[in-house]
Amino acid sequence: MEQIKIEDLNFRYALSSSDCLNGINLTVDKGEYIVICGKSGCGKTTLLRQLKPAIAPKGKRSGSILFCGRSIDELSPRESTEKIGFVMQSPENQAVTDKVWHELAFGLENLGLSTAEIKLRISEMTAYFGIDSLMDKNVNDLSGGQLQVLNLASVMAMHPDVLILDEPTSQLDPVAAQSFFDILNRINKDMGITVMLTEHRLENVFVDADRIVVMDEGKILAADTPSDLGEKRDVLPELVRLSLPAAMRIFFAVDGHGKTPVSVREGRRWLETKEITAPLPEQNIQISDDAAVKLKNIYFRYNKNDRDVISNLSVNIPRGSIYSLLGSNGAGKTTLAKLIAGAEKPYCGKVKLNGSTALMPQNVQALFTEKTVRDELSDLCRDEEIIRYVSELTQINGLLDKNPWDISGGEQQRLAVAKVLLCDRDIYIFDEPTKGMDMEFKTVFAEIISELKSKGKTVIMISHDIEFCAVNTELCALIFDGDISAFGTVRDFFSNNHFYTTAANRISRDLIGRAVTCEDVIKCVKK
Amino acid sequence: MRKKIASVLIITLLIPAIIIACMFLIKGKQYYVSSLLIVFSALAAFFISLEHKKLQTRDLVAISSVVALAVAGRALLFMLPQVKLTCSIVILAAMVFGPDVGFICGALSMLVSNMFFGQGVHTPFQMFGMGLVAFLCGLIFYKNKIGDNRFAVAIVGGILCFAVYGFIVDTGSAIFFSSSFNSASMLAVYASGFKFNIVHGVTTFFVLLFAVPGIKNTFERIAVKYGLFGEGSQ
Amino acid sequence: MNSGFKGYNPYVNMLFFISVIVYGMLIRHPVYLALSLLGAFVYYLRLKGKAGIKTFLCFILPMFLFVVLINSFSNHYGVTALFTLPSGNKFTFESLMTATATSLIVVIVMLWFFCYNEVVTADKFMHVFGKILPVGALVISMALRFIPMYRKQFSDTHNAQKCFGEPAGKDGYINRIRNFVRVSAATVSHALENAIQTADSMKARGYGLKGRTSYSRFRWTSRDTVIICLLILLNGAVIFGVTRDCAYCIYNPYVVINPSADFGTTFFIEDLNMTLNPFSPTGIISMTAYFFLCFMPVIIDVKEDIRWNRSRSKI
Repeated sequence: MEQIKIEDLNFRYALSSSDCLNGINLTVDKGEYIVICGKSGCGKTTLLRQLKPAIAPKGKRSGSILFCGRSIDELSPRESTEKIGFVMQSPENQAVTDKVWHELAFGLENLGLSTAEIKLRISEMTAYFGIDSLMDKNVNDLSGGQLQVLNLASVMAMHPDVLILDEPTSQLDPVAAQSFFDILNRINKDMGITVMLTEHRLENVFVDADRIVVMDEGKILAADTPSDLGEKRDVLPELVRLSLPAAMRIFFAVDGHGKTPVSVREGRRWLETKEITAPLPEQNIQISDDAAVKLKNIYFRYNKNDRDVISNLSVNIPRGSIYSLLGSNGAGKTTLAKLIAGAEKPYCGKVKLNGSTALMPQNVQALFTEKTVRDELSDLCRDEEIIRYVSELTQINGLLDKNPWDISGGEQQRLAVAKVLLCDRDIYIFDEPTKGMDMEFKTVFAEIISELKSKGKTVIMISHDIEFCAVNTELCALIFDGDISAFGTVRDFFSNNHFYTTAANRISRDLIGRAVTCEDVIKCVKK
Repeated sequence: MRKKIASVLIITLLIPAIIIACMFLIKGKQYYVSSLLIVFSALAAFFISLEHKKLQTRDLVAISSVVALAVAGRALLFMLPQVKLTCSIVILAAMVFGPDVGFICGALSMLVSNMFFGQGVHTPFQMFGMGLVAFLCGLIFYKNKIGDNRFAVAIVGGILCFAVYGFIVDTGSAIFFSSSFNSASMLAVYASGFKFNIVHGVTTFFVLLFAVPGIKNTFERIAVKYGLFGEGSQ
Repeated sequence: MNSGFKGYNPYVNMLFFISVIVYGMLIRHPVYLALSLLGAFVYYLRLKGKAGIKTFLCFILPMFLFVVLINSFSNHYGVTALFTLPSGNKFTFESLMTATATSLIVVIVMLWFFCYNEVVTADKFMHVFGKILPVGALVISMALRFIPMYRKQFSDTHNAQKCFGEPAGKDGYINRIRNFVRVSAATVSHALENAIQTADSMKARGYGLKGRTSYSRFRWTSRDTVIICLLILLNGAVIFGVTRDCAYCIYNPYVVINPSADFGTTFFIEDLNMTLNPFSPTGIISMTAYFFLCFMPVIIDVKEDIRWNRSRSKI
């Protein structure tokens, strides 16, 4: 049964001169799981918000959106609140009240339900989502992952028919993101609730999704099942193709025939049928003997009575290398970054730096203190020439006169990188630079770090993003429990891990020795 | 307009009525009770108007945001612990968002901040005092070009903070702590509060002096960008 | 945690504290003062344990003495001079009595407020406040959530500026203030920009629809009904006595405590020019009621302890 029907939808923002959505036609059946992908600014979020009149952006709209056969504008505010649930990107900003129980009740209070009814629904939700133990907590004491599950639960408590999620996991680490998707999948499969989702991290959601909608420049390029997408591979924009699951990318690159593999399991099955033609060429990583950063047996804790966040950690980061520090939440990665940057001091052990450092924090908004992007840059460097060079490198040269708070998240991230580059230091530390970023940013950022390397600078990256680190870094270390538990060149590191490794490695394990990235696999497989 | 006249009438009649009623009905603590009642009725008037005002959702969140900033600013300056930013933030909000919003922000800031530091007899007086300072600053500077003059704002803000807020809060404790009105013991309370009030006023003066172009513009930019409190086209 | 009087409905807690604080501020009769002081003090100790004694000795007692001294030395009314001050003014018995009564009032109200802060937590306050002023309560609830977020953002911004940018050495006082204002302005921007997203989330979840209800986790149970009836009864008895001048006393120009005796003996202490008649039937009723009112939380707590211990011992 068709639940949402969008016909010839055009939309133009109030102050814009061009259409943001252009002739959108889309039909969504009841109970479908739809993933919308495309690069930032392609109109995904605008499209989703059109489905929720309360938060639709201001502008000119033409065409029609039907919800269960009725125009979406005809729905009463109460109906659209109840029937269409919306989960946003930032876990922190969409929570309203200070207590977990009140957060769950908030939407229900707005609907005017009785105390008994609210109590019943809350108890149902807490049981279903397994969050009973959080009920008495303050919202601020939850982790990002818990908070996003709470946001989902409080929307679900209103019993929606359609659930719309706008990049719900972009601020979460991979483990929390995966468990969020598991819950989402369960809601979709258990209760038949329609799910519409935008996402950059496609590896995880493709398996669950019924259909993938690919958008570019306000148009829908394709809307097919994940495996049928293979037939339309040529219409997909380059950046979308790069963000597809590893199995699909390898399959497309070697011009595979037949059903497109989507999951790692399918990819493995397909790869087993292929002939491996060439052995994997050796990587040529040159490591300088000279250390840029040398930490020896350091210990650190935030308060006297806390436990050690870093204990007996020693690491040698060679000059001119691109070094990634991986590890789960709370393992001490960010603390280590602060120790290297000199923002914190270890209570025991030695930190030896061979050069000056600059740190880009995880929360890049903490860097912006000026009124325009130009001021942000010229604050650090007087030389117009260097500013022009850096702003071109980070592709923010079109934004110089805007306020840093008026630009998008990806643009803010690029501005932050530009600010760090302008400091002109020897050692650059980036804390989660690719968090919540799309392929476009990742490509730009990869170019920037290789540019830095070519100038002889040392780049240290703290990240959850295994796929990005596998392609773009040379040395990797895994931090666990305040100490380094594994260390090596990219290939050694990932091919020795069984779980904490890239999808391409999991697909090709035992078939191709030590292949870590999709490109590695593609090189070895016959076209 | 009619509403305004009505409210002025109510205030001019209500306050003397409260005082007279207390004089006759309660012996001994009439000053304290009447001042408390006046403070309560003023607070009640503003809070009831908040309930009935047709505010946009974003306006409400903006008020919460200002209140939270003001409370967070109570213990921000690690180097100078007795310096509090609450008053300056509330004044800036009143200048940009209008006097009545300023009153609400000021009063709520003190209520919320006492939820951390402990409620007491001082709470209503602090709420009223802070609200009134913001209200007065809003009356003077809201949609007024003088508001861009950092010295004007800093001087007015500093003086109001010292004189109005200090006077109201100290009067509250003076009447509470002393056994009779107009006595030397009241003066003693005023004297003991003097140092604190001077520090408070001077801090507010300096913070406003530095904050007026920067932080005020930030408030204004957001107000225009999101059409807060009927600002801009919406 | 929430046992005894603390476990009762917020309305019960609130009505109790409003009663004792209002009486505490208004009544200057020594017997009433003593009852309220004891009730507040015992309950405070029960709530705070040993820390309560420390606060009492280090803070409340010195303040009590300070207020007594200030008031008794600065007022010179009354007819009974105890001694003459070096300034030539008389130190009178009446002004000492007034000062003591005022100071007791200060201490009593303060103790009750300390107890209030322990018993009426933010949750309970919001429950009562939310029923009366729902919009105001929502604003407070959001503010409570924002405060730690803004603190964190401020220190993040402050640290981020430290980690790069300004090279060390540029430290001057003006520069530090300027940097502080910059960081504050950035925090304000961050706060308000992100608040708009919260507003969108509220709208998406139906804020602004007609007929909003207010959910609360606090239930009204039969024991709350019992206690609230008791509270009203006790209040009635106290007010009955007070309106019959049982709590009447004047300290100026001479001390008269409860003169309108309908029963009992009136004493006159000549040396101090003091008239007192503490025991009249209405007075005794009112004072007994006042005793039970002020000791209500303690009685409830102790009763619950006993019941608990008994139920344990039966196993």
